[in-house]
Amino acid sequence: MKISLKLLSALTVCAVLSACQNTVNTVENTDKSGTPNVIRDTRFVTDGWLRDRLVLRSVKTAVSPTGHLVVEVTATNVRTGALAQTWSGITGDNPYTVDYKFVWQDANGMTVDTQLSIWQTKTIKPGETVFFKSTAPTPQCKDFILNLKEH
Amino acid sequence: MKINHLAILGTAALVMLTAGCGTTSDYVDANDTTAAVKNKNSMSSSDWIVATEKLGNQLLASPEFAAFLRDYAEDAAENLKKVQAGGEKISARERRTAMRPLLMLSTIENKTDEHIETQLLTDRLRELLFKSGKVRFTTYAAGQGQQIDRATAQARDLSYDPNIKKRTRMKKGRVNAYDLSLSGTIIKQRAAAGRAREISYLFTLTLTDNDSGEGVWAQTYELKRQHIQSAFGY
Repeated sequence: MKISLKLLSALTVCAVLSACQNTVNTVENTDKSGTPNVIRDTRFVTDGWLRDRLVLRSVKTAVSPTGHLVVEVTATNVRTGALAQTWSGITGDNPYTVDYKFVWQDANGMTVDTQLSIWQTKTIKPGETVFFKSTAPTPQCKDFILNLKEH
Repeated sequence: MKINHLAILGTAALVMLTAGCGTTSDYVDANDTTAAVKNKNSMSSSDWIVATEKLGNQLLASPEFAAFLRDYAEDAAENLKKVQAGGEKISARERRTAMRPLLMLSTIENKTDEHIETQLLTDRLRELLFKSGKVRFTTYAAGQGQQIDRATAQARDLSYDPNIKKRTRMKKGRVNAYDLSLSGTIIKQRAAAGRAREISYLFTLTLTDNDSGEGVWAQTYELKRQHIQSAFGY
């Protein structure tokens, strides 16, 4: 009976804590007029937690008027809900932050050393959709790798 | 038994003391801004790196800058034709570089209360632009706080040196005037509420077409950092 009461109290605390967490809702036009160039991507996952928390939705590319390849990776923080929010509060992972770095490669597949390849941090609200974007340092850069890790 | 305990305690203390004396200094990735040590209340090395990345990305993808470069190349090609038609010889170097505008690093006004070296931003952006193949740059002229290389002028002074081979003497009237200048301001703002502290730096950069005096590209980027001040005020 005593244990049941403790469990109930813990659950209540969880419920109260999660109620304090607001998550992001979005609204957008259904019939899109843009024609983004969504490309196929290859993923190499070493952190399954990150993959499940930050869902990568699409990878788009475009060529800028200056002739540089521009990449935009769309991702959504799906770590929402009572348990996830409570747990992230306990582990100190709230707000959710990830580190990312773009690496650019030339036509030979060799990496290009540039001021644009830096590790930096992005904070993402629960339910928020974010965009990781980078411009190639030279028009000769044809390929890229986006590195992602939890902060 | 007593001796054994004492010996162990003594050894442990010695190990701890020895470890405490040893300090190491390791190389780290300068481009890893997530692991960098940041000054709480002033500009840090990683701030410049992040600002360069943000502003550089915007500049390289700017449609206005792209339009300027296109027009510049078109005008330069026409000018070269006219010069050649007038009988002037165009060097291979000029033919190779004439289609790209010449950039001058102008003044970045420091409107913060800190002593900051704005070259930490301008030199990085210049490198980015130069390596992208968009611009050439001049070291003959520069704004306040930027580096000027006096070697170009000094090379002309060598013309009077009898030891210099006549054929290799630099001629006067051959230094190119710049076409573009990069200028800007950095403004610092502070905020505090309770123990929460915030500092922000607003970077404003402008690229100016020096022929017309018109802006070719302008961009602002605000870098903001927060921390909670400790209860003891440190």
